[in-house]
Amino acid sequence: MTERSLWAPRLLIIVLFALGFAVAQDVTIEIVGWGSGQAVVYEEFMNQNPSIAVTEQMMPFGDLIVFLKTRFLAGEAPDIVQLQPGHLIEFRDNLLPLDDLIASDAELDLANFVQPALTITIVDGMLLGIPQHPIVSGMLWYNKDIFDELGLQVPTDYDELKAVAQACRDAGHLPLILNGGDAWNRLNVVEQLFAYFAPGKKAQAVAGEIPWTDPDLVAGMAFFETMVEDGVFQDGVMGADFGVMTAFSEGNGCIVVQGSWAKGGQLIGIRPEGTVGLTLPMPFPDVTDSGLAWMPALGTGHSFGINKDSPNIEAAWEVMKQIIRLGDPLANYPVLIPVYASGVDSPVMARANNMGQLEATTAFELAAWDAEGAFLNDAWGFAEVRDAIAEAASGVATGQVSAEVAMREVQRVAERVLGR
Amino acid sequence: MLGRRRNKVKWGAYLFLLPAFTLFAVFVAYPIGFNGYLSFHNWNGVSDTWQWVGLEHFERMFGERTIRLSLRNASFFFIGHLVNMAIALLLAVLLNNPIPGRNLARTLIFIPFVVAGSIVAVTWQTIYDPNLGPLNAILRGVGLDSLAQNWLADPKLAIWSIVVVGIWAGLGFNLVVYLASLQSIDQSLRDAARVDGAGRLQVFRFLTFPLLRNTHLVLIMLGIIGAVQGFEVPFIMTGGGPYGATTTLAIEVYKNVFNFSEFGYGAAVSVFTMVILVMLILLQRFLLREQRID
Repeated sequence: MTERSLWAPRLLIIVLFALGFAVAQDVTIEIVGWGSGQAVVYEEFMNQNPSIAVTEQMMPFGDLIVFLKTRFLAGEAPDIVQLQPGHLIEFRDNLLPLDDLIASDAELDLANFVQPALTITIVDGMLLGIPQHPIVSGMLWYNKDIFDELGLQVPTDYDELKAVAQACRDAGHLPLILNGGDAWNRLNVVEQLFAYFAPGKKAQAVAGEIPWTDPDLVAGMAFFETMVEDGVFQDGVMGADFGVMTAFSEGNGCIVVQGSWAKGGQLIGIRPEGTVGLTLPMPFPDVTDSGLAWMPALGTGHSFGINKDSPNIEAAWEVMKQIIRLGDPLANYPVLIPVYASGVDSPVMARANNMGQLEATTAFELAAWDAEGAFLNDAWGFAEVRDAIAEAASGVATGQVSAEVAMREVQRVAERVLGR
Repeated sequence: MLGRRRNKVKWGAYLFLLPAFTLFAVFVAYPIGFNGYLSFHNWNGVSDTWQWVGLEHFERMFGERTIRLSLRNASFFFIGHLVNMAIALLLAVLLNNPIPGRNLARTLIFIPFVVAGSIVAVTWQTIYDPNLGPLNAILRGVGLDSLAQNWLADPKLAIWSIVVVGIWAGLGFNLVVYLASLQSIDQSLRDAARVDGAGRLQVFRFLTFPLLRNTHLVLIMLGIIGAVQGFEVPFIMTGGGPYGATTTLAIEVYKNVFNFSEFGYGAAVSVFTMVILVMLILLQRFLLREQRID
């Protein structure tokens, strides 16, 4: 056989190979998000669905929104996007409402979702995202080893909190650590102050039913300054960065403001006992001393939505169902409350090596999700309002502006945004 | 015949200009025009809907506290740049002499300039940390407890803390520019002045300093542009806080565009920034023209 006569079989092999590949994976679903991703979920999906390939592109959260907007603008958006629930509103024109898909799907039942988690991904009455990774915020973590060493009890009111902070300072530890340079950390505290000083009023203000200048909300904001002035937080709290959180994880702090997600993160993560001291969750104390029970802020860390212009919506929905069924239990986070009650046990449990902390945290989270006064965290309506509240807290805490004036500024921003 | 020939030459020249003109049109003129057009609209960056709002964004901008603070902070950054220039000139004069170790000193002073701004910011953030940072630790260690401060949390101090970072990071560049200019001054002029009986200070004051006038002007203009466009270091170190104490026009653009999806308002602030810079560049041209008349 001459070299020339070999071209036909070679071409045939190439065509067959290409055809085989095309048949094997008819559709590729592109997912774009941030964080560590959940390759294990998609690998299992592809094993079960060889005709659908899933690619996952992860990036720093700071780059994500700009990246997605550019892709949507260019008409080349990914099939599935991972977003924080608060960002769904920005993409409401680009995402597919999922209500009908879920309702018409025999495999899923809306009633099986953790309902408050589902609520947070509804925009303009449409379910635009599937929530994942339920979280509790407005809570604190304390270093039990230091507490035991100093003979401290978990504070339940403001006087006790102040006393604990002072005892920690006297012992050379940072008191209540807050990464005040970061807006959402400040907001976690402010949300709790609003909850204690003005129960239920934050939601009313977000909806535009009452002004942000409501005296109870102003009192909550003013108390943030009181806490700073009383030295409850570490010095220079408004200029802090993530370094102070690391200080806590290295055993240099008594209490830290951080949500339940920290149990799976680097900060307080699941580490061998004794490495950083046993850190345990605690409620944000009743700073009004009015006997109110703790009102945890609940939410979800992620949500997944489908690009409404995706040419592969059916395949994308199949992938989404996989995320719903297995995302929480199989993802990197040791989440023990799947947002969808699929009955799948979490294999992450097996990887945990600080079971004392994990069990305590899980019980704490479950109680938070059942708490009567629980509310949705980080639900400020619009990013501008959220930023205005965070700025107000910063201004009040550094003595640049009174709580009254700061909240007037918030109201001005809210009116402008709602008007738009 | 001659006319036709001339026309041919002209079209050929245009042809050669075309690539540069195309690049300018696509990457400079179009974005500026688009930005200007956008500044009169509401747009969230994704939707197909553009809402005409006229001058609304500009009216709002002039009423915003953060814009006023941005301009104030730009002036502080500029003051820092003047201090930077003074130190750089002093060092340049010193290092222009054949003193031992001058090459090492030049290198060491220049290194911060080539370090990425984000690394500079994070490094100084750590240095300034009031609880764990080395600055307060050193101050406390030598008994100067009262000087230990909340460098980035105190609104009055925060901006100056960042200005210091700017001086540290930018010193190398100013030094190199001054050194180059000093070395371009004819030595015979200085020698002649010395022969005429001028002392070192007099040579510097009446000869060297005036001869560096163009260098001063260029560095001043670069300083103004840097002050108005400041972003990276304050954004990373404080995010513009606390309560806008360290914000800049560029931070306001970033926040409004990327955090709030207010592309129209962000474009308006960009236009405002551009107008300020164009005015300053025209001022520079005017000053240089005056110098040529002299």
